[in-house]
Amino acid sequence: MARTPPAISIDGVSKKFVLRADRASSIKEAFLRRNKTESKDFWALKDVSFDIPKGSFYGIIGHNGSGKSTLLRLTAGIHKPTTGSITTNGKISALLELGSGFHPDLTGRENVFLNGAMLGLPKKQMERAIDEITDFSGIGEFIDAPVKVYSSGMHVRLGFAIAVHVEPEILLVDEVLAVGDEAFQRKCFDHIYALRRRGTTIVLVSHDAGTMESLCDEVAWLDHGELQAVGEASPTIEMYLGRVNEQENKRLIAEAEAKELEALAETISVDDAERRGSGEIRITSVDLLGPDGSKRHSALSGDPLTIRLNYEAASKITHPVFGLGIYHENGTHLSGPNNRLAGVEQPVIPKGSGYVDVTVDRMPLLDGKYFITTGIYSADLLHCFDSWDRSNRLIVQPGSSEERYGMVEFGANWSEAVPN
Amino acid sequence: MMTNPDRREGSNFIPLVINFAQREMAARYKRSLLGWLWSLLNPASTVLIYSLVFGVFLRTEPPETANGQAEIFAVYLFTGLVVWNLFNGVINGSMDWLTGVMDLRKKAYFPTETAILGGAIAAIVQTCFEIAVLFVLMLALGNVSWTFLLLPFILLGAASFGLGIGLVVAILNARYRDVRYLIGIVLSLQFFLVPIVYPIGLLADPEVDEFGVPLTEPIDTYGLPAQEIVRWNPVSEFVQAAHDVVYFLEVPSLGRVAIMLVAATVSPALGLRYFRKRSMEISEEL
Repeated sequence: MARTPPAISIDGVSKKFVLRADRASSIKEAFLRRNKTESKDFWALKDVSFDIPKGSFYGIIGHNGSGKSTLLRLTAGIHKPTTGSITTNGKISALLELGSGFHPDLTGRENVFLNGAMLGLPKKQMERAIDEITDFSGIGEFIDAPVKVYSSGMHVRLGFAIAVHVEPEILLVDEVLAVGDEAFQRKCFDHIYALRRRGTTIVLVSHDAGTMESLCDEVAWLDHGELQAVGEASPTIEMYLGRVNEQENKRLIAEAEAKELEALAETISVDDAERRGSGEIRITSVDLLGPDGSKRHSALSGDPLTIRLNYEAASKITHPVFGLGIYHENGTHLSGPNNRLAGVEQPVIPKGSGYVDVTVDRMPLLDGKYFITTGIYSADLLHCFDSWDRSNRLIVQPGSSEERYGMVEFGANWSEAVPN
Repeated sequence: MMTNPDRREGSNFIPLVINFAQREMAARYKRSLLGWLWSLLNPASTVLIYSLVFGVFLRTEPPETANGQAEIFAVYLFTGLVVWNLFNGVINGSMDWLTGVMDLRKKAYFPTETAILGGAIAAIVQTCFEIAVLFVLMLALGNVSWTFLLLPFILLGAASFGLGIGLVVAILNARYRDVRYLIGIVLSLQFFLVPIVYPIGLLADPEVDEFGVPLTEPIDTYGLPAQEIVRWNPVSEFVQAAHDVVYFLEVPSLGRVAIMLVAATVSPALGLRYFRKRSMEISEEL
């Protein structure tokens, strides 16, 4: 079966940058340090190969320094691969960075013609498009002012207006759409969709999983210059997020270990939290436990979680009530469970230490940062033994929950549309 | 299908060359009071100064024109100067034209030789004004013939020869900033190695009488083969060819035409090859 050739074919591409401390810029210098080359090689991309099909909305995802922007610059032809090759099939328009392709001393209008010429479009053709470009960008009379006086928003708007009006067959976009107000962004996306309907191949580079998932058909995931996965957007992005969470967790553990070294009793407690109460019984620390009982430094949305409250009783305490307060980092009080509300009475607690487990089968909080307040009250709730306001952080990362907007999982069931 | 880095194939970069040429022309006399008039005043002032120094103070005798009437040093000088200005302008300009687009090239792809080509076109356009002045001058002196029509071809050849050299020095200058000064020295030396401010006959062996005694005293060149250096200089051929068609109203010799043809084709071919091989590296230097 005959297949249409891909819009972009990336074949075994590696890119080496040579980092030099100080480059010889005169002949004298070049002779003087002939043999003293203080250069360091840096491989931004290592043997990357994949095809971007024609007419697709393709995403390249990865954290900062993953090589995704380098790959885009190679595709745009700004740099040459050290090894391997990139074959492109169609006229390329690129939106790579702020003011990309603008000459600061020329006016907006002159830059429009210059940009058109760089894509091989004669002046006449650009003259027909200039009014449309000016309108779209909304920069008005600034079109005749030098680009160096433009605000960053105007830069992006003019750049985008040009990029979509030169009728590219391939459009490369590097996170620039994040700039500009909401209205303009919407206008941009409308235009991108229109281009797409006309068969333009669009390649978007970003580290933002949400945008990528909602826009892209297929995604390539890069990490430290190496291709990790390629394929349909959702599963690939999920893998990427999995790695991000893993690394975040590692980072938190490392941070916590560093804190332990500083002899802090609580790994994730907040130092300046307000504490009150008579202190006959006190919470000594709060641990987060995974379903396997191992200590965690963050919770996963939708996954089982145990919050272990470790206490130290200075004397015998009769039927105390343990309570929790869950706060969003913006201060919103989300929940306030205690064992009595849950229908559990605490026994008489002997002098000494112990713990109380608070277990949820599904962590209802979504990805975000929260605080935990702990409290122990007398059986009649009139006396406070210990109340520690927002003493512990609760970091929640995306887990098995499918929901992603807001703070809590709604967990609703949806019906299909029922026409009346 | 375009393949990196040879994506030049299949892409149309003519609009870009035109854009650069227009920009160079517009920038040349932008914000100057007299504008385009400078493109005439500049060579006019040069002619005036050199005429004063060489024609009046040093009494350089120009050769006779074809119609044998005029022996005006300024006219002889101007003819050679038109060729030299173009050659010199393209080489010096190439370095500026490349450095002028490097920032842009770091942000978007386009072949940088388009900037140099555009600049060269702007230089050629400016030369057209000088040709017009030269023509009017010769018309006034009654020293014109169809051979004047060959002048544009000679000038194109000189520009093309200079372009090849310009492409190479532009790359070298982007790498080492002192190349510009070196080229400046070489070109000012070259100016005097070309018969512009003196007739080529000045260096020729003096005529002898029937007994083989020189009629005039030969010029002391301190053992340097001055005559050979000037004669074997390709730039000399272009300048002398201009003298041939404008001043003496002759068709240049076959040998001269051959040398010019080789210089005007081999130089840009080699220059462009070198340029394309190295321009990618230059644009990656951050």
